[in-house]
Amino acid sequence: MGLLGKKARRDLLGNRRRIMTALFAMVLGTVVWGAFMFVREMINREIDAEYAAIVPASATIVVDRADENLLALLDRFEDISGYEVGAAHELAMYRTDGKLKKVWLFSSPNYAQRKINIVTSLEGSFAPASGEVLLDSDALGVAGAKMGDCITIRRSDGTTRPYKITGLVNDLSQHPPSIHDNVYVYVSPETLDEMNLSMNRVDYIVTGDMYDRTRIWEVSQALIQTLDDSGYPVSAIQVSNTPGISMHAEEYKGLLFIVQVFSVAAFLFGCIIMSSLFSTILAGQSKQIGILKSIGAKTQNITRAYLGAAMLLIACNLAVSFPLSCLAARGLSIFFMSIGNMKIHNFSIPIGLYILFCAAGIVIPFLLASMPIRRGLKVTVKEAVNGLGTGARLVKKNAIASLLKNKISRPVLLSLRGAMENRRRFSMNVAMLTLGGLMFVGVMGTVISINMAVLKSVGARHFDYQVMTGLYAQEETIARAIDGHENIADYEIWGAASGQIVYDNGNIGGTFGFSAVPADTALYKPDVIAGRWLEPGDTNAVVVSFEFFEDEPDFALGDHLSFRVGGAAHEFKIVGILKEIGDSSVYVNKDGFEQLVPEQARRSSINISTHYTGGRRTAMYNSIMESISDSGIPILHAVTRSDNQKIVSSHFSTTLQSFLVVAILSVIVAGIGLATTMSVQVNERACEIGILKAIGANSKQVFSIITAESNFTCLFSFGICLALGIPFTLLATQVIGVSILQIPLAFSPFVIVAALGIWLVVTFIVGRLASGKAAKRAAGMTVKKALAVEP
Amino acid sequence: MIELKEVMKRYGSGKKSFTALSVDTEIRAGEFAVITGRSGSGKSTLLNILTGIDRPTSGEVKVLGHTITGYSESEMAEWRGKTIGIVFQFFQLIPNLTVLENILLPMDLVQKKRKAGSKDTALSLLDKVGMSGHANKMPSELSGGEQQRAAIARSLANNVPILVADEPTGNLDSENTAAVLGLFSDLAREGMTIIMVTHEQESIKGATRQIVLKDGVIMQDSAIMRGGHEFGAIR
Repeated sequence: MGLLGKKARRDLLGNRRRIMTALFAMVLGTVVWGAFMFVREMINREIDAEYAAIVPASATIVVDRADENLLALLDRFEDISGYEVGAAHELAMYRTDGKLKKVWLFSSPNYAQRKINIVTSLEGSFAPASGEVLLDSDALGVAGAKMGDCITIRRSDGTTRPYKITGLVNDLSQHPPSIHDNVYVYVSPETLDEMNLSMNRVDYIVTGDMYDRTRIWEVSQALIQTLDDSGYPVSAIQVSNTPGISMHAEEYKGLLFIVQVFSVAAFLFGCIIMSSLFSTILAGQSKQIGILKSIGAKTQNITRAYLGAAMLLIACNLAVSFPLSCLAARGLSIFFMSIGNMKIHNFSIPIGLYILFCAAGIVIPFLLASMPIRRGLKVTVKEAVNGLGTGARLVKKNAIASLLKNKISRPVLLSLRGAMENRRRFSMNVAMLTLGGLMFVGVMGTVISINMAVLKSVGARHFDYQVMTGLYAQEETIARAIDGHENIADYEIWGAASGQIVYDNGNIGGTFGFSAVPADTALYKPDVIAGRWLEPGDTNAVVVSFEFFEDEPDFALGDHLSFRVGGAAHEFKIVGILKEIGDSSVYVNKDGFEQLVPEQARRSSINISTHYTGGRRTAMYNSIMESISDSGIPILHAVTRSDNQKIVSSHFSTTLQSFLVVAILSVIVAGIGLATTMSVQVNERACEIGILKAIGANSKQVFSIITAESNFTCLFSFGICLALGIPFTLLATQVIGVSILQIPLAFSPFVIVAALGIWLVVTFIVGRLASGKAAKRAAGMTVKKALAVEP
Repeated sequence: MIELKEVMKRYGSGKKSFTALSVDTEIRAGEFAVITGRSGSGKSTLLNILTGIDRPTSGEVKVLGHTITGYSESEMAEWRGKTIGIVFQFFQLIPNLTVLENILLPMDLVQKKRKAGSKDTALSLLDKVGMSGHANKMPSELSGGEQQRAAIARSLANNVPILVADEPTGNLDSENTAAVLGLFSDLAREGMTIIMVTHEQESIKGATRQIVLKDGVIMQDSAIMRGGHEFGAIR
C-alpha cells in the first residue's frame, strides 16, 4: 500500500503545470463559494446588528418649529417612549468645480447623547463649533472635499458661507448620500440659528412594539392630531416600510442569496476540473495499472492509493482556500457594507459554517474524483497491455462530424472529431461553459435591460439641467435670467411642492414630491406603462411612477386619493403609471396645480435644454447658475442630465456588478477547465500531431486544428446557450430585475440578441485563450518528439 | 534525386558525444532502396534525416535539387507533404477520421483549395491498395494489414515522388507483409522512389538496392536483382 500510494502521488505530481492549473481552478471556485457563503452570513447578521445599534426611530415627523412647548407636548404624550429633536433642511453647496449639490443639513442639540437614530463619530470632532460642520463620510466624494476642507453652503436666504469640515460621521438612519448624490452636513444648534433655520424634526419611538408598523401609524396619527390641535401642523411624516430593519437589508439578502447560488457553480466547476485531472492521470496510467494488476495488486488497493492522492490535492485546496476565503470574505463584507454606508465591526463566522465549508470542500471533490478513479481502475490486464499505436484508440463515428464531413475541410473535421472524441470530457466542458454562459447571458441580459430602462427613463427628460428654486419664482424673472444665454435650445418652468397622502380615515401617510408639468411639455416624454399622460384641462389628475406603488401598495390605476398640499387636502385620481426609475414623483398638470396649491407652498423647477455637449455644457451650467442666482432666485439644488443618470444607475450598479463578477469568475473557472482539457488532448494526441506534421501539416495548421477544437467546444456550448438563453434571460431579468431591484423590465429581443452577441464574443475569447498555450505547444512539437510520445 | 553529402548526426556533447550516423550517398529516381541493419545501427536516424523529421549535425541533404537542411519546421512540413509519403510501423492513421478522410487529409493540408477530383483520387488510391470497400470505416474497425494498406494509400495522396517506409511490415503477419511488399514493388515499377527501413531479410524482395548500416556507417550498398538476389555492389 505504501509503494502504491507513493506511485499514485508521483503520478499526480508528474505534471506540475497541469496540477497547478487544476489546483488554481479549484482554489478559485472554492474561494468564490466560501467567501460569499461567509459574506452572506456576516452581512445578514451585521446589517441587522448595525442598524439595531443606532436605535432606529419608529417614525419621524417634520414640523415648522420644534420649540419648548412642542417638547412639553411630546413629554405628555403617553404612547411615545422616547424622542430626539433635531433639524433637517434642504440646502445646497458649491463644490470647488462650481457644481451645485443638494445638501441635507441636520442638527441635533447633542450628537454624543443621542439615543434614537444615533449618529456615530468616525473622525475628528463630534461637537461642531460655530462655522464648523461634520460630514457623513460617504458624502465626501459627492462634496468633492476632504476632512479639514471648507465647503461653501448656500443658505436659505441665498447667501453663501464657507464651513470647515471638522469631523466625519456615519448616519445609518439616512440613505447612503453617495447613491443619492447628496451631501449630509451636521451642524450645532448655534450654527442652525445663525442660518436662520429652526429645529423642525422629531424622531420618536412608540411604546409597546416599537417597530410594529400598524402600531406606529396608530400612534403617529394620534400624535399628528394632537400637534395639529396645538398649533404645530405636521408637514411630513416618515415611517419605514420595514421599521427597525435597514432599508438595505432585503436588497442585500436577495443579492447575496443569488450570488451564492452562482458561486456554488464556480465551486462545482473547480471540483469537476480536479475530477477531470484524475480522469487524465488514470487514462495515462492504464498500462501501468494493468501491469500492477498482473503482479498482484488488487483494484481496491490501487483505488485507495489514488483516492489518497486525491485527498492530498483536496487538502492542499482547503489549506489555501480556507484562509483566502476568510480574507476575501472580510474584504467583500467591508465593501458591501460600505455601499450601504455601513461599517462592519464583527467578522466572526459561526463554527458550523466553517465545518460546512470544510466538509463540502472535502466530500464534494472527493466524490467527484472517486468517479474517474473507480472507472479508470476497471481496466483489465489484457486491455491495458494492448494499447499500442494511435490506431488502437477505439473511436466511434460521430453524427455531427458525419453530417458535416462533405461541407468542411479535413483539418476542421479533425478538430471537430478531436473535440468530441472523449464524450465525457467534451460533455463536461460543454456543461461548464454552458452553465457559465447562461449565468453570463442572464446577468448581461439583465444589465442591458436595466441600463436600457434607465437610459429610457433618463432620456425621457429632454433637458440638460434641472434647477430647483427655493420659492415659486416669477416666470418673467426666470426668463430674464435665462434668455441672455445663447445656445439654450428650450426651457420650461415647472412647479414643485411636497404633498402627503391623506387616507380615507383621515390618517396622514407618506410624503411625495409633486412635479407640476405643462400637459403639452416638450421636455418630458415619459414611458407611460398604464393609463395616460396628463392632458390640458386636467386639474385633479395625477400620473405616478411605478415606484409609487412600492410605498403605497393599496392604490391602483384609476383610484382616487387625497394629498395634503400647501396645508389643504385635495382629491386626485391616478390616471397613468410611468416607468420612471429612481423617482417616485407625482406628476400633475401645471395649470391645475397653480389653481390648487397656494403660492407659498410652491417652488419652481427650471428645466433647461442646450445645444451643447460635454465640457461646454458644464461651462454653460456654471454660467446659467450664476445668472439665476444673480437675478435673486434662490437655488435649492441643481441636477445635470449626467448627474441624474449617475444617481439612477448607482441604485443598481453594485448589485449588477456583483452578479457580473461572479458570472465572470464562473466563466474563468470554466475556461480553466477547457484549458486543462486542451492541454490533456495535446498530450494524448502528441503522436497524432506528429503524424499530421509528417504528412505535411505545418505549425500554423496544427495550431489552427487545436484552436478550432477549443472553439468548437465553445461554439457547441454557445449553441445550447442560444436555445436556453431566452428563457434563462427572462428568468434572470425577472429574478434580479423585478424581484430584487424591483424594476418592471419588458421583454426585448434586442436584449437577448445583445446578451448572446456579447457571450459569443466572450466565448471565442475564452476558446482562444483556453487553447492558446496547448495549441502553441502542439504547433511547436517536432515530428520526432511528437512521435516519440507513447500514446 | 536524393543526395546525402557527408551527412553526420552526433548526439551529446564533449567527451560523451557519439556519432549516430555518418553517410555520404545518393538515391536515384525510381529506386526501391532498402535500408537494413541491426537495432541501433542508425536506420531510423537516416530515415528521419531523409524525411526532414530530424536534422543532421553537419552535411547537406538535397532532395530533387533542393537543399532541405535549411528549411524551417513549417517549410519542412509543407515540403514533406508535397514530396514524401511516409509509412509508419504502427500505421498511425488518424483514429477519429474515416479511412477515406485519412487519405483526403494530406491533400487538404497541402492544397490551398480542395480540388474537385480529390475524393475520386482518394478512392482510386484505396482501390489500388485493395481497400475500396473500407472507405467509410474508422481505423479501429480495420485489421493491422488493412490499416497499413490504408496508410500506404494515404502516403500516396499527394502524388508524391518519394515514399519512405519505416518497418512497414514489422507489425504484420506474413500474408499482410507479402501484400504490402507487393504494393511497394508495384509502385517502384511505376517509377516511384521507395526507401524502406527493415530488419527482416524477407522484406528486401522486390527492392532494387540494399544499404546495410552498422554503427551509423554504410557497410554495404548493393544493387539487387528482382527477387531479392544481390546484383552487384554499388560501393
